[in-house]
Amino acid sequence: MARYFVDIWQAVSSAMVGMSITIKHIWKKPVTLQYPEERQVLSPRFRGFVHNDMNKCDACQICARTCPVDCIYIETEGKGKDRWLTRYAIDYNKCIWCSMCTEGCPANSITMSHDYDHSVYFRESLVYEYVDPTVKKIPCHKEKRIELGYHVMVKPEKKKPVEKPAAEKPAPESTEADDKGETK
Amino acid sequence: MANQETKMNSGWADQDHVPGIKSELMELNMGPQHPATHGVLRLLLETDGEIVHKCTPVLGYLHRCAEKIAEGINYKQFVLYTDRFDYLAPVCCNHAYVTAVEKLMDVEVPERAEHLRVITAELSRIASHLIALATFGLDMGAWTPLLYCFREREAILDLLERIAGGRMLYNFFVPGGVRYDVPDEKWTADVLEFVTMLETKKVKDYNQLLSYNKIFIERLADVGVISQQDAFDYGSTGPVLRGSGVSFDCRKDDPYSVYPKFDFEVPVGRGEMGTVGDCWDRYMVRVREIEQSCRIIRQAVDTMPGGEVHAIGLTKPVKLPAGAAYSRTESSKGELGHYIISDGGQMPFRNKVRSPSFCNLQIIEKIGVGQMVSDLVAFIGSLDIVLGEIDR
Repeated sequence: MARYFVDIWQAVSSAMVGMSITIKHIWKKPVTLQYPEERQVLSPRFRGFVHNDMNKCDACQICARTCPVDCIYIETEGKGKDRWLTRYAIDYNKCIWCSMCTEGCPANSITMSHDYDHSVYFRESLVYEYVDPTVKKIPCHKEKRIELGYHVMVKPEKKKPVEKPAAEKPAPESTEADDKGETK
Repeated sequence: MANQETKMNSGWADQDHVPGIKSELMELNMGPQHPATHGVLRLLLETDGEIVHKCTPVLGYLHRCAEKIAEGINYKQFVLYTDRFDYLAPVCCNHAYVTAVEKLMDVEVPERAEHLRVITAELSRIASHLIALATFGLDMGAWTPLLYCFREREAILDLLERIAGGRMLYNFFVPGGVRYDVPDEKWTADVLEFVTMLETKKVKDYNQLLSYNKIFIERLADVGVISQQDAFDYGSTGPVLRGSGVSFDCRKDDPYSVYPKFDFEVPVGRGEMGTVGDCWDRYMVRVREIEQSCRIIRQAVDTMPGGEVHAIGLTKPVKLPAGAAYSRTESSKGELGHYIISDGGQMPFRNKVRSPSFCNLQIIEKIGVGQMVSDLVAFIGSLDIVLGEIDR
């Protein structure tokens, strides 16, 4: 019988202890954000939708090769000096926001933006085309790019041209210097 | 006598209570869409009233062929698939995989990277345990701790977002190190501040709110008792094994990374509220592990050296020498192992994952029987399974 009342007392008192913690929170500031109106402050490294600066991109295809889910579609035409980038698209149905494309990019053209809440009505609309439809094609060769006023990546320490895909021949022990150059 | 035997086998079910009316066991589907099954776990129950007579887990609703995918992509790309195994503690999952790759590759990981790995993995473990006790409380009808635990988890996500960029799937580890260094000097200070806040105030709050609540204790003590022998027999690891009173922790007993440098305890179930190995013990092991993780983080931050954070670059594919390597690490759910067989190429020949939740769940076939359905919910909650890891 005594046990019965002790149990009741313990249940009530421990509930009151918990309740006192809850009551303390009444005077605290709310931690929630009213989402569409209030936005979270995102850190600089936040990985949102991918942004590709088409002024810098020269279709080296490293991003498409690095992508683990093959969501980057690059189409080019021509060869050598007459090589043109005609399509650069990212399929956000597949994209997993891993940021591996940005780390490999030698021209620093791909970056992760801070957008995270796009919405579309159809799945097809999630394939984002990056080449400006009014421009239609972008030169890939260095000389042509300088001629037409596109940005060209200058790497003084490296002799090889920018558009040479570095990931084509994966070295068994990939040099540390190469990767640092890419990331910075 | 025949009647007696049937009674012993299946309880009330086959007995004729009323002459001429025969009752049967009822088959009950619990899940796959059930809030108490923590994901898409389907349990096929045979019940007699409230009592469970047979309990069969049906898996595969979240199967994504991760092991097969591993054979088709290179070693650095697969790291982000390991994020998706245990999405509550992705960093712990990365740890097992990169350790296996490094073992095979024989690469020296920079000391600073190891420290960053430990810090993020322990933060991730705390986040996972917070979810575990939050949802466990929710299953038992306690709504408030869920909100408080999520608030603290949010702080961890902010910290990890600042260093890794993602809020849920970090893709932070890379074979040979970690992807980024700390974003700024303030980050480590913030980690220490958070850890101190959690240790001194929040864990106390959870204990008062939930752990030592009499109703909560009455609900869980002596429910779903896993004996030591059962835990060994079914290959349980992690808090499930430690809840049964066995002190086994890969961080301590099979050390990897820089864990041997740090001083921490392995909390085990002590049967304070009932039998050793009941649901409350497993719950309490997690609460105490949060405190121990805080200790590890503080030591790791204090002793973090300078230097590089990755040894072999971030994105370029690497070739591993032919051979096989198995590494096991302590994820928040238990022992997570990766077995990699390499044939000398850029991609593994086979990648087998030993996931802790999968092994921990199997014991439900034994312990689940003879309980009430409502106790089964408590039992599943105390196992703390994640279906992404079970099905992979």
